[in-house]
Amino acid sequence: MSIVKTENVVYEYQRLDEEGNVEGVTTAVDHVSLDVKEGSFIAILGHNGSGKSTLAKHINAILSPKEGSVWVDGLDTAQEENLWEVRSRAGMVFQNPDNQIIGQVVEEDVGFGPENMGVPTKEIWERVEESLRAVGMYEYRKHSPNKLSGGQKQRVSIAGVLAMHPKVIVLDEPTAMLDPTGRKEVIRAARGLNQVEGVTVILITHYMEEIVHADQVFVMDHGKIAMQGTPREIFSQVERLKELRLAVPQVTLLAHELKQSGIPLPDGILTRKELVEALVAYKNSQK
Amino acid sequence: MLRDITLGQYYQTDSVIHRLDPRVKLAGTLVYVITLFFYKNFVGYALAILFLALVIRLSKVPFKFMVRGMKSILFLLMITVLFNLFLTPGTPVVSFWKLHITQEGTALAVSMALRLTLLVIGSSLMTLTTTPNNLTDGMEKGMGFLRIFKVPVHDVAMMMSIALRFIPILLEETDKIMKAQMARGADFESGNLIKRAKALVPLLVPLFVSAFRRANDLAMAMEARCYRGGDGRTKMKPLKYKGRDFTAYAILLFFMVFSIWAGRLRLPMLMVGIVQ
Amino acid sequence: MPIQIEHLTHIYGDDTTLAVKALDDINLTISDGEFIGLIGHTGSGKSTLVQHLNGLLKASSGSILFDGQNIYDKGYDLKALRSQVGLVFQYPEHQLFEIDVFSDVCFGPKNLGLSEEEVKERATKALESVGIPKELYNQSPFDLSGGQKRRVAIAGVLAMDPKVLILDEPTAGLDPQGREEILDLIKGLQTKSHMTILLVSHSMEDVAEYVDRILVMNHGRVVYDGTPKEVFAHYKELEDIGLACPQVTYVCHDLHDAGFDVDLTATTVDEAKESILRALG
Repeated sequence: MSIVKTENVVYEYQRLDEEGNVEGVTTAVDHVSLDVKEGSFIAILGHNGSGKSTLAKHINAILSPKEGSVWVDGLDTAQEENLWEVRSRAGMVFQNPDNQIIGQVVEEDVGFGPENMGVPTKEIWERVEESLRAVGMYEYRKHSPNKLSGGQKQRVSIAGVLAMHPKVIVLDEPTAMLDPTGRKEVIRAARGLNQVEGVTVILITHYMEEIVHADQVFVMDHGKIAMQGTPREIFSQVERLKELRLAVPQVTLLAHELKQSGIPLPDGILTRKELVEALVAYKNSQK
Repeated sequence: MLRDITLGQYYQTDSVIHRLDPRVKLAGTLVYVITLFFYKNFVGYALAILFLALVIRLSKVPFKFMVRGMKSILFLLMITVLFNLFLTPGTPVVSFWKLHITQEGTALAVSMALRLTLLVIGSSLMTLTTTPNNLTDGMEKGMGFLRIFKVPVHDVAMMMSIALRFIPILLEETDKIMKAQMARGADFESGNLIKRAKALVPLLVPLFVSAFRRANDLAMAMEARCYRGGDGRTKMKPLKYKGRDFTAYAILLFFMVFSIWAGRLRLPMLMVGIVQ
Repeated sequence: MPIQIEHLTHIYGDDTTLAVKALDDINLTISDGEFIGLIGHTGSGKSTLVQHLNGLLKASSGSILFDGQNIYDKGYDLKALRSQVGLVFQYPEHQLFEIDVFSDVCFGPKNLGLSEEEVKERATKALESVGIPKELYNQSPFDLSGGQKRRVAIAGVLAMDPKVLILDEPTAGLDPQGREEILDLIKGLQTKSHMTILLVSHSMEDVAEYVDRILVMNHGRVVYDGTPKEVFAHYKELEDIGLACPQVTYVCHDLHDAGFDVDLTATTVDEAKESILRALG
């Protein structure tokens, strides 16, 4: 069943000159159609300015398409009366960990969404507890967000969205401002949401290591979908990714280079284990 | 240097006063401050001091934290005292050159100093025993009646709590931008007033840009989490009066009535000033 | 102009009960023309250390000798030091403030009290060296793309004409190609302009590819100091302090365990490739 569906979505930004007149338009999203199955883990890749974040904001009805339509769980996001229902079914986590935490105490921040939705007090507490446990931040519930690390703040943000009981969570470059430890924490939490809680996850990123476990990957460029497929299919096209200002993980690159040098390795090797096994198999076949 | 500034100077401990409903504390502070202006003799002030001392004791907040708040108004206090001391007409006690210290002036100066001191200590006691969050909650609910006059109570409270959350972040950012500009040779510390004001441009422009960017991000994040103002919102931590809150209200009422009554008795020796 | 750091210690909140030792007895020498990578997780003290090198933070004890002179000596000109040791902060584009790109880059040299002509000359040179085309000089810095903004901000520091350039996470938030472009640019500054470079980074892979020497910090101390090969030989210990080696280092170790005769010190994709090809005969 499809949970998010976009059909020929177009979104344009107007460029204004100093007097405020329209100078020109930039097409940020250009006829994008995609279909996300319920319960899947989707990654949207693209360089900075490729339109991936603009597309993401459509799923949460923060932006409304200029042309085409977006449906979340069957609801047309362009319909005014669907707005709040769409936002409670499709949650969103943003890039900057500091600019999306509203509460002054972790648990109060997680409760913010349910409060807005009019959830009864007793249930808010239950949801806050279960969400904080799901991202492993329960013991920090009484802390001030200012004292947390970047990765912890992003996990609090994820819990804040989870407490709204959404069907899909869009993570818009949640790791771009984090260090490697923080990045790992957040990706682990996102995978947990998908596998344990069964929430559909749409991860937007330009770190290739983070999408290795995705069910499906879309690569964006100039507002269009330039590539789509499984991580393996995507990573096997090393040269094409380079053209799109992206880079494959070192292991994939090494496998690609070895292949270029004449070692027959399978395409799109994703993990260290796969590479080592393939090389061992090759070595044994040589004997 | 900027990190030294503390706002919303909450003192973390567990006491009866800490546990009181913020509305009680808000109302209490208001009542206390107002009663200070009704006293006509020093018995009233004595009662007010006694009452405050008792509450401070109950709050378990060390007295030095109260005094800290006094530093900022020391100058104002001195001026008030000096003006009242020298410029009140009446029976002279001491005279030198063209200045006279009068009996009435002394009484008035002392009473003004007491009023100001008690006012400041009384209100800092509220902020010391109430988390900023609780305070905004209390204001939202306690001032709810203002909604009849079209005052956007919920929005004001939300704004206050967001401001409190972002102040430390913006202070840190100021520190960082300042250092970054200093690395480019900026000098914030020397030169005359005009030069120093000009030197602030490279600090203030990036700071404003950043504040606007943050505000924009935050507004988006709030909308994404279904925020649409106060209507239809439930509360995770709703304010509910408990037994002790009603007791506190009763004590407050008694204090108000009794101290005003005692503070307005005509006791010639203890009167504040005839001019009043 | 070498930098010698001797017994440098920095304690935050010295006068309170919450004193934190951010730097703990650091001893280092940074020689002319080196390209050094400074690595450590958040809170390891690396940002604190670099802010000492241009005198923005003052040590609790110890000394820093720049070109043989102690910067903590009385009357030492810190402003002159800051023109010699350029520091690019994390997300440097957040400090842009002028109405156009060119004026912003002029800010640094102007503060040095240079003549207008010289200021313009330096700004032009700096903007050229980061690859900002002339057409953009009169644009508002706020209208540029993220990558361009970052270059302009770096140019703002380069215009001070420093001998030593310190960059704190210069690639944070950029996409892969943007990262590579910035790192190539920095490498060029070392090879062509003969600057000493100190690159603060989280990414072992970036560092392994570009630098000659790696410093690893943990809990305010320098725990490893050596060439990438020497440092990554401690890959297990590095993991214990929350840092990972380049993926290829792990691949080589795995292959070695599987009976391949590979070079365990390979730290870049190219080195690993050569080594594996050799091992396979």
